[in-house]
Amino acid sequence: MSPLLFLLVVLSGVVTGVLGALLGIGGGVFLIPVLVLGFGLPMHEAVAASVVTIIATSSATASVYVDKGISNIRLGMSLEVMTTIGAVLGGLTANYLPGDVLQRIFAFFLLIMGLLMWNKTRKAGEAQIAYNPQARIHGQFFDEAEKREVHYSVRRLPTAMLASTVAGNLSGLLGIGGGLVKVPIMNLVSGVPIKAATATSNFMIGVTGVASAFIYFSYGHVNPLYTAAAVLGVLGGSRLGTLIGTKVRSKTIILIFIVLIFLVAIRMFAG
Amino acid sequence: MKRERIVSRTLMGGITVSGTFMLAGFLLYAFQPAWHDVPIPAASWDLLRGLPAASAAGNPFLYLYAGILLLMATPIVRIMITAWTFWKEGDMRYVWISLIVLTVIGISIGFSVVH
Repeated sequence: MSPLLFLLVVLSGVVTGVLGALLGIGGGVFLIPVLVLGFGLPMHEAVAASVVTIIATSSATASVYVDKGISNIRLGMSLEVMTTIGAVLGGLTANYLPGDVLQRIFAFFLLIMGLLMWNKTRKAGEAQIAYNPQARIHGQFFDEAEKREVHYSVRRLPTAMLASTVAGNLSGLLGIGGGLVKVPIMNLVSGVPIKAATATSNFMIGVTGVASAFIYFSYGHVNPLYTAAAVLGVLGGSRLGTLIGTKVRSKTIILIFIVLIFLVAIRMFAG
Repeated sequence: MKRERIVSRTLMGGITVSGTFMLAGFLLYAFQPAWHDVPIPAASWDLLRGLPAASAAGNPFLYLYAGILLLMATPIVRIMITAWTFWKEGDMRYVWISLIVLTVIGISIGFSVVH
């Protein structure tokens, strides 16, 4: 790997981290197409690199959210039982699929994600938050934006756990964080406030990533140069993203990103 | 110390250590052009057996793999510490939940070792 190539991969990681911090999405959605289409990396190696970077971003961002008490550790651990099972199955499935098939499945997922993001920009919706002292899992955190303490209870946990299996499976199969599935599940199904759901998802995706990362490692798909370069870039980008996040209009970025997603999906589907 | 603080520091510690190994690997790679034409060794647990000798030889790939594996170990250590804090609080339900998650990951690691 030449120094220029190394810098380009690190830069890709930085952009991934920035977009992830600004848009609240995992890095795989951006990183995998860049590694495959831009650097010619085989799909399985790109997915493996993405899974490892997810572990890095999860560890970095979760450390902040956990320290502030926003992540619900009990909820996260409960859901992790199912996401890790889903991730192991996803990782095993991915390594039995040919690279071009995996690439097309990823392209299809990008289309779905683009549609979901487009739908989200048109209508903002958040579940009703309620506090029930009889519930098994509670949560509370100080919302810095609203300057108030938020109390909530987790409901329909079995349903959320079942749906988390799907999130874990997608993570292991496609190298994504799964936050796009986990956050709506926690918010709309379990009544967890969006901020706590996002923080808890960040807390979980690292463990979900680990469950499938070892599968990819055993198949020899972890390319150390590309993976480590992407990790270093993403760690820096995440920090940069949180710094510039307040100064940039998210909606504009989201719209540009949605267009990019559709274009990339078509390109990846074409092979 | 509060559970959240312990978990947070574990995560940051893991990133710092693994990132250091990765940076060291890249620096060794950059300043030792002889390694540029060496084929990248495929990921394998056998690599770890060669660690002591390879570290003396300045093998950059092993430092990179070590950094990646340390990063992968970070969430595992996080779960262990979380389980320990739940045990200290007497919350056995979540000790068992943590152990189940560790078991699933253990199966994944076991598969990777055997495969």
